[in-house]
Amino acid sequence: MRFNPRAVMTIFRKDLVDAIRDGRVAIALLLPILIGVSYSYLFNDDFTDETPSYRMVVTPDWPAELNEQFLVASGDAVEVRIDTFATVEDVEERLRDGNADLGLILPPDLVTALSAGQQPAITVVTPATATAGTSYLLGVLDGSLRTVAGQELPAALTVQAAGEPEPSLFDRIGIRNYMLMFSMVFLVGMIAVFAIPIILTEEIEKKTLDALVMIASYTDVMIGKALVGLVYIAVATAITLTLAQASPGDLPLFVLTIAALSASLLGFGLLFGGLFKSANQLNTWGSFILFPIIIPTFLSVVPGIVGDIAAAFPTGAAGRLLADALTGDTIFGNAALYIGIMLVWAVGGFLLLGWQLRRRQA
Amino acid sequence: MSTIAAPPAPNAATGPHRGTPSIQVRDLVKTYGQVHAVNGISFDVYPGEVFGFLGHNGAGKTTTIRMLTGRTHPTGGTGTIGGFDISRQRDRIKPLINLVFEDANLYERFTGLQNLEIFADLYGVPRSRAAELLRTVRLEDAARRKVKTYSSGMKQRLLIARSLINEPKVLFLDEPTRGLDPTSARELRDLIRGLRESGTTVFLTTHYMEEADELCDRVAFLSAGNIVALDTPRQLKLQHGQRTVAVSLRDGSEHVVGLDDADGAARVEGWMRDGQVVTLHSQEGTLEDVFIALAGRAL
Repeated sequence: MRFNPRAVMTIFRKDLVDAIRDGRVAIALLLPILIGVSYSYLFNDDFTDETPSYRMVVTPDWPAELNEQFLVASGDAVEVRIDTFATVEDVEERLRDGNADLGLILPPDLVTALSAGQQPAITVVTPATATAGTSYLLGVLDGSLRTVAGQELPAALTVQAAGEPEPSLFDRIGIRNYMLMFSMVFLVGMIAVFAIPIILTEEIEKKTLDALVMIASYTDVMIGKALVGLVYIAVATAITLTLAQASPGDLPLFVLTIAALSASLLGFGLLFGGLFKSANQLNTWGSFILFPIIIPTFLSVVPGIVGDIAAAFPTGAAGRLLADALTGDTIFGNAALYIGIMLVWAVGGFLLLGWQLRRRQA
Repeated sequence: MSTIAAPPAPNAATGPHRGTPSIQVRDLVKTYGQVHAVNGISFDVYPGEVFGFLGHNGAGKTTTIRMLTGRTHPTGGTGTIGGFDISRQRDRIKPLINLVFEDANLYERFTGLQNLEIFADLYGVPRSRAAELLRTVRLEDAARRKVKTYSSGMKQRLLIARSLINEPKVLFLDEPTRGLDPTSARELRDLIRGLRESGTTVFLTTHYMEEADELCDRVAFLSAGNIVALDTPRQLKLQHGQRTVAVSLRDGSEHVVGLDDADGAARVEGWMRDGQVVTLHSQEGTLEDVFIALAGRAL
């Protein structure tokens, strides 16, 4: 398995320039970048921490005593915004436009009337379709009015949580990181088992490989193409992270994971490329091969035996490591184990490739 | 000298060449499962010799070239190029040889110049050699055009330029004039003669018998993995071709008569005695006739 650095670098330079001119390869490079960037914007974790926010509009005034009781009764679970307007029309307009959950038209001297037990008339205006906020605000309003009127509540409620909530693995990773993790594995998969094999298959199909091995060895050819794959993966990863404005929490682990995953898939990709007689044939069947490659990534975050089995595959192991690397948190840990799994697959892939090359020359 | 139907002994060089052979093959065998692609062939090719290797499709020509150029391992036998073993010293052989492939296996998205520069880099020769060779094959005006825009004749000329990038001591040409127009084919034949004069050993496969007859110092006929004849074209024709004479008589009739046939010779003698002969032309057998006689059918 001797190799000639001059031949390797010549083949590397040739493929680096030539491959990108092939429409199939260009698409294989661009598609994962587009998916990575669009997923990172489409799937956002911000909504998971959002506190519900309701708006109540009032005319003409919102008494301070009632406001005090209202805020106590609403608690911290929701954010309540109360705005006052000069006219009834203003209030009705906000509700018609869907800009408020509840409207109140209050009589003058409301607090005095309540304290005197006079049952003052309050007009409640709701949106055409009541919202969750409408019901909630009405409930809070009822309790607040009773308190201001001096009525005793039937019971004093104390609310306490049974414990701190235990976030799921998925919650800890977050949807954005999960989709970014998938995008990264997809990117490496597309380049390693689709784009680079197309370059090799085209050399076999056009018989340019025969011309190359008149002076270079098959090993030189494979190393040259694997290097092209590594460069494409590095560039595509950097572009995706930049456009997605994503910053891995643990950058060294992220880089190590991408490198190990690339090594583990490129050997199999080149092996795979050698099985096809034409690039079009590979183009047709390549998508089917990508499925089993990507699936372990999705399953790797599933707790229990399913996730553990998935993590025994390079893309599953990479999934767990990328989850840790992107969040900067030790969700799965065992980095050495997962790197080891990918390296074992890398060695296996390149050994099989070597066997295929020996057969080609036999 | 006689035509040999069996592999020659190492010292049975059948041409005018002597000295250390550029290519030496002994009992070379290649099998694929039960199929014997090459069945124990032996021959020598000498420096500056143009050696023709002729046979039907599937006769074992390409397999032999693949073994000699280090792209596949022989199943048995030995071979050397420039004194280096084709199985164990491939890395020593590679810089000494090159091959014009039957297919136009060029990088079509690169220009003609870039195609040659890639191989200049691979062989470690200066890139200036690329431009020089493009001039040699008259492609300098198309040097910066992408190869996909080339005609098949231009591609063939570029293939030849590529094969000369490392100034090979032994050049293999696999059907080099296939698809070339008559002018380009003649230019290529002139180029091959020039290579021979410069001492390059040329190993040529072709389907064109006239071409082999014109260019080759010796030819080997390959049939079903065996060499069935190996000699100079002239010796092969003398040995296996039918000698004939074309006779025109005073009565206007024309006759082709075999001289190796006793009855025919007597007929010619009779016409001459009676003063009926107007013209008489001796004719040699063609290489194609020899091939058909030995291999059973034409190429």
